[in-house]
Amino acid sequence: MTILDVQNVSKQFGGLKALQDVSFGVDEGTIFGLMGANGAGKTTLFGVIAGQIRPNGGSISFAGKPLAGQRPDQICRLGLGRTFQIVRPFGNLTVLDNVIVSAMYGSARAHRLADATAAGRQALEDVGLAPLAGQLAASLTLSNQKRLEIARALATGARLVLLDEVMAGLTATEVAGMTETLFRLRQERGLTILIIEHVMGALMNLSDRILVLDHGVPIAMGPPEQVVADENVLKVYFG
Amino acid sequence: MFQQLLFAAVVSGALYALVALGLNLVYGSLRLLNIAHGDLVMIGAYTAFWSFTLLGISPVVSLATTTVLCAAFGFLVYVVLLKRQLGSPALAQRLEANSLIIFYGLSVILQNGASLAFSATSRGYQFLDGVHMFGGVSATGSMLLLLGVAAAITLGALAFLRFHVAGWSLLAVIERKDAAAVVGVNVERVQMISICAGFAIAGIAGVLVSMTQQITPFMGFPFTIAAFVVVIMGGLGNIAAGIAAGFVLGFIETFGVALTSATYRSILIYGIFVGVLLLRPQGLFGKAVQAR
Repeated sequence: MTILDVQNVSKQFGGLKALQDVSFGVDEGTIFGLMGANGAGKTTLFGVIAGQIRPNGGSISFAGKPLAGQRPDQICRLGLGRTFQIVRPFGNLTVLDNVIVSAMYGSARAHRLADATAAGRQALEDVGLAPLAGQLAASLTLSNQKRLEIARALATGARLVLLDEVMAGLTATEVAGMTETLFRLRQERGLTILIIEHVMGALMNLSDRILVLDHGVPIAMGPPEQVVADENVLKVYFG
Repeated sequence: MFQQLLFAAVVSGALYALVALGLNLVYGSLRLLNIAHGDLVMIGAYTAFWSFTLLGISPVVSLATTTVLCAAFGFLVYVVLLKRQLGSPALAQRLEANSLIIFYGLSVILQNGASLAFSATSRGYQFLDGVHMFGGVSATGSMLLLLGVAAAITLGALAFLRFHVAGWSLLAVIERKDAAAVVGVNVERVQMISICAGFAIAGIAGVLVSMTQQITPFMGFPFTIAAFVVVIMGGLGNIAAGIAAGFVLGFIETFGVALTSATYRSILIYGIFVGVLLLRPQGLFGKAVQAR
């Protein structure tokens, strides 16, 4: 079943066409990769899906519901979470309080604090941050702040998460750990993942399907092995 | 003598902390520089004055009516002046700078409107002015009431931010608005509540001030300045540090004036302002922002 359906989305910033006529669908329970050079429009696309950037044209629906005109917090409560490429922890709160806020406000269900705390702890457990629950978020290492980004998205009860370069800046061992975490989340939570990643090996390894953007234009889409062999992709990446 | 000064410093520190709390809430969650903040203190003061002198209503009751009145005014300002601008990304970017002009206009209107309506004559009334002695300190009932209310509100605010999940969501909005939005926090609603609360707190401070000093339509400006000094000392948007900084200013002012003379009061306050901006622009307790 298609959980996210993006149809002919376009976005223009002044004279810059950041996204042109982008269409794709993501099946529930799959990992869908977004590839493209810097400035290809990947993060803009995330902003549009999450409701932070208003598109100039096109439509997006999530689990059958159109997202047009909804605020980011409303979209979040529908079950769609995102992380940021440049981490944005709530540094003055503890790691646990970060995810409790997510669980309390991000979930569609009415929550009591006890439920939110339990959901938050589970999300920390899922990404391996449970031992650091009491620390201030600002004191975490980059790799752990990236994990916290994911935990915050999970704590909202999201069915689909948009992961924006969660592996950038991580060591090879950390990349392997993160890859394993994402596979496990899909397995255990039935999570659907839309992921932007510059670490190519990881993206190839993780993704069921990949969409390649070049200057806002989709140039190839399909399973990883098909995409890397695609003529257009080779031209963009290797000239 | 020392105890008396200490008490005076605590009272004025609590008042500064309270006034600055309102300003900091509005700056923190909306990034708006409300230079009409002191004029809301004035509105609160006149509300208490007229309620007391015309209707015989106790300022204690006025604390409640002012809260409602100023919060409603904050709501009106939010809906009429700010909502559309906050909603448009292009306008929102410029709003922090533009807010100076918006609130300057509001300040002029409030001051001169009040002057027109109530005349510029300074006014006062007597409420709980009996003197109580304890431990070498003499204090009027109104000063004790001021201290009690200001302490209750500031400590309440600290507890709310520390222990309540809604307080955490407020901290989240203050620190990372976009990240708060994508985890489900309704940023617009937090901003609306913040501006209502910020205005109400200024009004409450005005009621308290009216019990202990003379009031005029132009009394607000020194409070605006003091609040900005405090907020900058604490670090803009840092609510807890702002409360601590309020007491720092109260102590410096009270003891500074006692050691020199009242004519140095403004020099002291502006001196602290300039000094903090030059030496620790991130605030006394803040961490330096990394240039990127």
